[in-house]
Amino acid sequence: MEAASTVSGSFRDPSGRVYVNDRHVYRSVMPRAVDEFEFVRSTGLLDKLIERGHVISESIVDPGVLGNSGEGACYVLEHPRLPFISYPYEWPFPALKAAALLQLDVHLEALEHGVTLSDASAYNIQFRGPRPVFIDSLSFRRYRDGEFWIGHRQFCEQFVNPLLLRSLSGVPHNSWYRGALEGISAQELRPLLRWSQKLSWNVLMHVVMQARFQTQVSARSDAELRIKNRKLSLIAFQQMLRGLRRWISKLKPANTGKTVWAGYAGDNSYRSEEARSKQKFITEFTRTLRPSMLWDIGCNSGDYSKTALDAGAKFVVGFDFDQGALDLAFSRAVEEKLNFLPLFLDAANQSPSQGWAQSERMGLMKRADAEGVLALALVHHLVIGKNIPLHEVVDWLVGMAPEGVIEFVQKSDPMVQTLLRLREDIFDDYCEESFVQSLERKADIVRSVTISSSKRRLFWYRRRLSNTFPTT
Amino acid sequence: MVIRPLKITLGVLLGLFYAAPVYAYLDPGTGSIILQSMLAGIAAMAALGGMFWQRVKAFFSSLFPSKKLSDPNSEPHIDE
Repeated sequence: MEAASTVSGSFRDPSGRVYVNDRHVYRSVMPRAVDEFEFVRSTGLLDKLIERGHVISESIVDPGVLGNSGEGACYVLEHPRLPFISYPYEWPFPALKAAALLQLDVHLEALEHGVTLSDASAYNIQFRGPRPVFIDSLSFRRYRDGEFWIGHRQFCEQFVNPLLLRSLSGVPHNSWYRGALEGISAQELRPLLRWSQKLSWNVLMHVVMQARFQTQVSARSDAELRIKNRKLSLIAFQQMLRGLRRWISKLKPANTGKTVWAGYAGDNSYRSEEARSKQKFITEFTRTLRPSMLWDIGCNSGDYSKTALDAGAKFVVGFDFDQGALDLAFSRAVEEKLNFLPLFLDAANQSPSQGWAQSERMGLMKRADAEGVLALALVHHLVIGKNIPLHEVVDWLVGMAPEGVIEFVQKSDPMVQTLLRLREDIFDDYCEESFVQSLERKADIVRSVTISSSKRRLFWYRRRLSNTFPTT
Repeated sequence: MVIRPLKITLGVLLGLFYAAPVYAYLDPGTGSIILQSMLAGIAAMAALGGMFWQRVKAFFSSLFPSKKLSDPNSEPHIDE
């Protein structure tokens, strides 16, 4: 077994740190957190939440498993390793909403056991398929009578305000959240809201009033005087969580009309015969490869992700930049209980390594450990839509996974002609011959098949061993 | 006890109109805590309002005693 290394994003809480190796995640419990750790476990709360699948499972193991890194730790916990780590700025609206509801459910259950949560970070939630799971078991601590909800501001910034941005203004949270890793503050959101939107009790309280109170905090700590000796009763605390839960469960994206791709599956230049040929090819590819992790770049509403799952892929992470398609894909994953997680991605501007010391949150390519990749009707968008050289797009895709299926769309195809309609054709080397040449520099072509009358073609590649992707 | 939450809530509401903006890097969580103390005040007032309503109901019930209350077979009621 490979030695466990520290997870760089786990430095904030001195109660413990997180380590990973190839199969497991370990969490050290330092002396300062032992009392709380033992109390929380004595309440039976975690057993209940783990059984429900709301919190990731854990077992106590010998601290020696961490070698020197485990020095000083009173306990070491072992968690199963999740197949993929994603961040709230990659989640589509319904995923962020599901994560917010889980956070509230976990907190409400905790309060029933005399336990509370020390924070409300969205980064403490991960996804198994479309199902959120709470992963930071050291956030639980003893509830003290009358205490305030310390994580309230963070909950608003990391869940409520980003959801409101889309729900009230129709603007997706992803780009802003990616720029401001801690979320969107009430002071930032308030000026964007219309007067009539501020009349909602919840918006008035959690955005308008909170922003106002925050702004009026004065240097002479008049605010501290105001809250001195004040308490939040347990009932008021629970009412606040339940009120937020009721409100968030009703939030929907604002009606922003049909987005670019949401109607794509039924409204593009595909013909159903073409779709069947694609499905057949992907089924054959997946059955042969049997990937435990497959990435579907440009997944749209998840048609071919589903094909791959049906053919034996264990987990599919789908990526797309269209919010309408992602909303559909996520709902579909929930309804059909698919092990499928659709995420927001602008392929020409992927999530970078960022946060403290540029290592707190990992860039997309640092998390790339897919065994297979699908890139259907994607290449022409990057080459013609974004001016990225053809061979670079091919290298990027081939570097992502050792095997995959890439679709090449001819220049004469109606979709490519649409992209070229209002611009000069500067893409002299955009042709199948160049594509095949680029592909064969790195990989062998296992099979290829023409799937449409416009000569769209699927290529199943297998990367040659010497070509791995640089992860920097 | 009734006066205190009311006073704090009114104070906070009035404070809304007399706020002077200051620096954002000072104590970033205080806005949330003041809001919660206000919500706690509202919850306390709601609870007191509920108690008051119960008393009103009890008063009218005593004016017009129902059959159940005068039932000699009912459990004896012990005042705490």
